[in-house]
Amino acid sequence: MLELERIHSHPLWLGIGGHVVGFDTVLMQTWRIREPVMWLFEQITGNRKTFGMNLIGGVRRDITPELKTKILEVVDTVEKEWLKVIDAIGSDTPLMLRLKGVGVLTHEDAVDYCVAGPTARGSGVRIDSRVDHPYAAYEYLVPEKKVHEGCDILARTLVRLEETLESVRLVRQCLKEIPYGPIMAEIPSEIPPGREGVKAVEAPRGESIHYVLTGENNRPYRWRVRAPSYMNLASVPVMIRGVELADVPIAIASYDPCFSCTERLEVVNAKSGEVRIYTRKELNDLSRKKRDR
Amino acid sequence: MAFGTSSQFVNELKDRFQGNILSTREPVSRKIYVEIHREAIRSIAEHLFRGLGARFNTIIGVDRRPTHQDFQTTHLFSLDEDKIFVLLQASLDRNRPEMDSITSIIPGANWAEREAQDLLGIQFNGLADPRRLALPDDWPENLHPLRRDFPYNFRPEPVKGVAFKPREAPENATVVPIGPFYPVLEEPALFRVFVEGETVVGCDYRGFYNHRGIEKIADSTLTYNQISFLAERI
Repeated sequence: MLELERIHSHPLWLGIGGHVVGFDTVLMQTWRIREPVMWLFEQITGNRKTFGMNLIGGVRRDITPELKTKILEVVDTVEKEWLKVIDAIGSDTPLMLRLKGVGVLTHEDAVDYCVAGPTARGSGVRIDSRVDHPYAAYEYLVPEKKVHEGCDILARTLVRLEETLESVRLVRQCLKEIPYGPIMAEIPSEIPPGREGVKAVEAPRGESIHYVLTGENNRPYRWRVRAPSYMNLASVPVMIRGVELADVPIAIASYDPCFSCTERLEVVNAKSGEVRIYTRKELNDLSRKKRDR
Repeated sequence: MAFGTSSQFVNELKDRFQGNILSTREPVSRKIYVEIHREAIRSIAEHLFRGLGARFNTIIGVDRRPTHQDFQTTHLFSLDEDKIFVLLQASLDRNRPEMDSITSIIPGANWAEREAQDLLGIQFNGLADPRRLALPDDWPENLHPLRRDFPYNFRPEPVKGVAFKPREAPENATVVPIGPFYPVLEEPALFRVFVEGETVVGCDYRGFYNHRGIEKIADSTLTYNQISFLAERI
């Protein structure tokens, strides 16, 4: 499930990234490729998103042999089509110009701002909590860390493109080697208070870290969550320094946090106090016009 | 730098900081809890981050007044090569919880410190940008919702006449605010982008408009198995 999540999330990101730079074919194609994965989720869990699968001690549904076949079929197709996407994107000169050397987060800044996930790996930071702090079955399924040194939007894109294929490989390996057995462990009594635990999980956008200090009444005394975008967003001011205004939407989008910063834009001329409001469409047009230059 | 075992790391740390390390424990393999003197946070954090190449992850503030008569901060680091998590835990005064800021050493700690300042009222001395991060601008001063004596369903009266204090733009720069509202995606955010011509020369950020206080809900009203459903909706 964790890898299928990546297989749907990276194409989702790439589609929106394509949309933001005015290349909607990317959006159409990647979302078409992604859709069968969403159907899979529905068959496995009952939901397209927010699966409701996890409980303390295990998961709520098992993968049947029929589903197994189905999953393999879907990831086969995704892989075939994804290779075509990689080829198409790599050979698209205008797109390369929009991504290469733009939105640079230097390796030093990436370390100083402690960024996570593809944002970090695109700046040459060799971290991936699946490998560094193995959880679930990652002691047995070892993903290859996908790292690029470009520090720009292109590097972040390449990391995600390659990770999608790596996830396909992991799903296959997982289905081949998964043992049969109970899907839920018995928890004999209430969880005692005063115990601490911390765990990191590599979500598509980077590692999500949870800390729990247990308390009375079967609930935590303190539960602290650190999502990957928390660290990534905080480094946006450093990353967009030096980029052109028209590249700001894709630069921010390249972190995969919040694309619709393009919704409304207000330009205030600091000297005259003159205000001009750009709509989302105008800003997107500005971004797209740059592509046509 | 790589350590063969976690005890090697612990011994080296104890040698270097001696009296500032109060105790260490490793209840689960490769999760090392280090109790430290709060005055030593800067030097230990600097050693981990600059000396050992550890990664800073976050700060966890806990109001332990009901159980331990103090506030506790946990600075979470990871030594990724060694597959180790290091939790630096410090006890702060129950009436004046304060400690030194580490943001000048680790820029990535700024948000974590500001968040603990907002939600728990822990003061970080020397924090260059101590503006509000998680709490809304019209939230009353000195009211910290993640403290245990703050009821989860209490709604304070909004303070009138306050607003976000944006950072001054550099001279000659034009301010281009992007946001804060856009209905299509996850959360609203305000990027005040400073431009000279078309080139961005700086940026100021205000976010957290969607802060929902899930940590508070979880420690006040939910049970473990309900939390896993909430966690999925973050």
